[in-house]
Amino acid sequence: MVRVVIDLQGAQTSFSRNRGVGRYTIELVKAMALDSRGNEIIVALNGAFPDTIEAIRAEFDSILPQENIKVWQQFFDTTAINPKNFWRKNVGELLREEFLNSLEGDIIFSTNLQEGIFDAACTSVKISPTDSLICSTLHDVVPLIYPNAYLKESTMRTWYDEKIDFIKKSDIVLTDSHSSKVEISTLLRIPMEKIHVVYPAVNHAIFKPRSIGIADKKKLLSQMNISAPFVMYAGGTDLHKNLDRLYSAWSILQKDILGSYQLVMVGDGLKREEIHHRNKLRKLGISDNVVFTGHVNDEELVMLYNLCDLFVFPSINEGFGLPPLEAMSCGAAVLASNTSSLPEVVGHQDALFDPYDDVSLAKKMERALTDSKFRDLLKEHGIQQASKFSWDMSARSLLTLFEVSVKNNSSIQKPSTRRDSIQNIINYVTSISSSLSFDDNDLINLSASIAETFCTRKDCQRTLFLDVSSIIKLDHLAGIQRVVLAICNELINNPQKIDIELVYTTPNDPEFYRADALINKILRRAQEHVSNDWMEFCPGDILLFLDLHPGVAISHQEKTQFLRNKGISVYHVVYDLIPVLKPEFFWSDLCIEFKEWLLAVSKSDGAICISRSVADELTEWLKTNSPKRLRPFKIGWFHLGADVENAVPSRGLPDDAPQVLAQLAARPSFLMVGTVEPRKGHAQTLAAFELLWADGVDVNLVIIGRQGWMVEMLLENLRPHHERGKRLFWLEGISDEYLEKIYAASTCLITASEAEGFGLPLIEAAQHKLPIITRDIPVSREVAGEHAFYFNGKEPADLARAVREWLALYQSDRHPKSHGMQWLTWKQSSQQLLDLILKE
Amino acid sequence: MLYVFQGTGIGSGMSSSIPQTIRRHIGGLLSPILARLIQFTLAHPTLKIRALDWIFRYPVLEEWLYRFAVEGGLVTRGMTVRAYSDPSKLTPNARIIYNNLKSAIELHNKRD
Repeated sequence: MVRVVIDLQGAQTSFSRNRGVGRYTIELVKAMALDSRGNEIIVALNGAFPDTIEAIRAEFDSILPQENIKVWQQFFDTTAINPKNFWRKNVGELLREEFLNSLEGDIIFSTNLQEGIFDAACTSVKISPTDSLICSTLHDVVPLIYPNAYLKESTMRTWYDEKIDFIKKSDIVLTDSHSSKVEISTLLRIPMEKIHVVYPAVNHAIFKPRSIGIADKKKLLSQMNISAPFVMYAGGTDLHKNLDRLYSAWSILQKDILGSYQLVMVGDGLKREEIHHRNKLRKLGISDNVVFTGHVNDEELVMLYNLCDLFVFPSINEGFGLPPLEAMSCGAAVLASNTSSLPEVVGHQDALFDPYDDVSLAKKMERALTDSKFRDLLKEHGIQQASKFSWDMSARSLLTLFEVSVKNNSSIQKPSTRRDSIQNIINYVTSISSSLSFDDNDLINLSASIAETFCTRKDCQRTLFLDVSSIIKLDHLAGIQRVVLAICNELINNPQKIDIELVYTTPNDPEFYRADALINKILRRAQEHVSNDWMEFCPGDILLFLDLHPGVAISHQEKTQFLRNKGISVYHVVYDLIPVLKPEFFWSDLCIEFKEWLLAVSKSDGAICISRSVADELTEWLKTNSPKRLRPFKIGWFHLGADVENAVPSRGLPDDAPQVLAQLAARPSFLMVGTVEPRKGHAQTLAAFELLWADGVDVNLVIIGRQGWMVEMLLENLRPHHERGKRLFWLEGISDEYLEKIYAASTCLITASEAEGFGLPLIEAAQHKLPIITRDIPVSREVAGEHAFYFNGKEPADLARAVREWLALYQSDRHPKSHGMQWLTWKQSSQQLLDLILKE
Repeated sequence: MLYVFQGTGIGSGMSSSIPQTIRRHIGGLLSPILARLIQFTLAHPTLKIRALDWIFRYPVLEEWLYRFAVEGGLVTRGMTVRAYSDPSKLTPNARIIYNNLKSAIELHNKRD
């Protein structure tokens, strides 16, 4: 088995990612990963291009484990065209090499060494000693063949020469064609046996003959201003593309052909330079029937290849010449010049012309446009020829080359050169510090880059970070905070499959800190050691926003994307979606913030909901609200625990507790547990009990919970209620111990809530074998199943009727019993949560 | 934390020291012409290299032109480099590396 480390900067830089190099990089490496034949593929990315990382991770999502995508960080500019970056460029190159070496590949493969002139890519070979074989692709030597066009400037020349030296130092040189191989060997004096040809290819699933509907054809052609049958060119504008001769040949075509066809020039650069090209065309008198489309996407490009009558590629020198292959693959008739690699690509003598001879090109075009048999022959041959080039075949031949090379290399005994990467960089920087200019900021940024690139955490175990930013600030714990505490308590106090750290942050601080105070509280140890260490995340770690602190999640989107780029999975626990689904129960600012929070959640790796109902609601909500994603958003669910004894219970009974408990025992007592807020249905319940009391039904209503929001009208009735203290009880902020006793003294639990994430009181009631009357909402069915009595309707009479019916059943012992209800302990609940996260 | 945007390889500074009067003139009459000039230069690789080579000799002009190009949408903010400027903002491990780097360089310089 060979471990191949692949530098994917060729798919990252603005210079290459939208060109042939970018496509070569992605398609070849994907094909290698898809059929790795037991070899291990590791992909390395430069963190200086953060916007590209998510897209690349998405490309490899189902074909390579995400942990095989490694990212090094480079918080400084190394653009080679700027001479001020010289120190930074040198240091960046070493940082990259040390990182790639640290991945311990048998082979380090760069899909394009010629990167970094206009952006912060760094490439080099063997600045640092390595045990790995180095394989580099040199796509062509066009700049060496046309130095006046490309290498006139000294900065460019120096940069290019340096890259050529790196090619020479590579153990294996890849190139795209036999023609290139000969040029490289001749111009760079590299032995032929060191250079290997791996052909680029096309994705045959995309570039294929297609039948295009009349409407689509009309739409595309009108969008591109094409108004006649057309001959097409696609590609760059460089001098060696030989466009002047194409124009000249076009101008000498027979008049009837010129009058019937348009020449369509496809490409970004062509459009940018349209004025310049138009001037030339005007002089030739053919400006009117030449169209410049500008940038086209893959879909449009395939349609144009399919629709053109002829594709012409007059380039004098190509390392490979991808456009003619794409065109052939789409079934277009293709003509190309008979120089460099193009005969290898096109593979048919009759399809070639002399690119230095306008007349030869014009004649060939005339023949192809007037002789339908010849055109059909070209088309037929093109499809056949294109099928000989596939990324699968290229990947297979490359992997074979790697396997053989590594086998041969391992037979040579060499001392290992593996060293401490960080120390190595420090030594190198020290050695160049007296000769190159840099400042303190450079050292700061280099230090940050090194620390983020190499995991320096002691014993580097995979860690689950639980964000507890909300509960760490709160004195009293309500629903969600109690859940957070119970899960933390369970995970911290018991050995787990993964290291657990509790962390917190604030909206204004991008960093996370160890929540020492909370850990001490959970471990019931003195608050002596409160260092609140700055936490460092390493690839493979997981950050779970267990706590609900919308401000933190919203403000940390950039940080969490940085972490995701680096290989840390980020998840959120979603407790409910009530503020977006039923905004009438909350104030508008909260609803706005909650929606913003959900959008932040939807940009992470996934959400873990506290019930299947919430997971379903989230799935539905995301269908219409989710921002565009490149990788799938994972949604899972678990159930909360309900064993009070393990949930760090609060203690204490008020003085009047015995008297209240006695009153509850005196008649059937109906209990409501939860914050007094509109959605909980307190108003409907109180009104229902007023009806019952008025009808002479002798029952208690016990409300446990603090005053929430938007309940002023209810409280105006509740506080001075004539039954208060007699048959109506409202107990605010009681301890868990007191709540336990009230459960024991009650007859039935009422949950009249119109929306719930989970409904913990249902389970708590079941634990106390307390029967339940609950509103018929999905989560109640999910949690309580057949073990509760359900009611519908929002009128007091609806609930009053339900209570009467339930009392009748209760008196004959035919009411649904809650004690058969399935519920989890916090240990089981935490385990469910952990399993969900680790399953990923 | 500072975010530096790079598009063409032109430097990262964003402040401008070009006199107000010149800026006003460029902002008014000359800006379309300058924009076309930049567009044309960026579209021609050889010219672009020559222009950048020359511009890098004049940091103030470089900064100003870069800002003009970014604000005018002429330059794509293709690459983002996150940069730090304060050692106290570094993580503990980065700070240790920073201190090690500094002392190693100082020691090396003393020996020289």
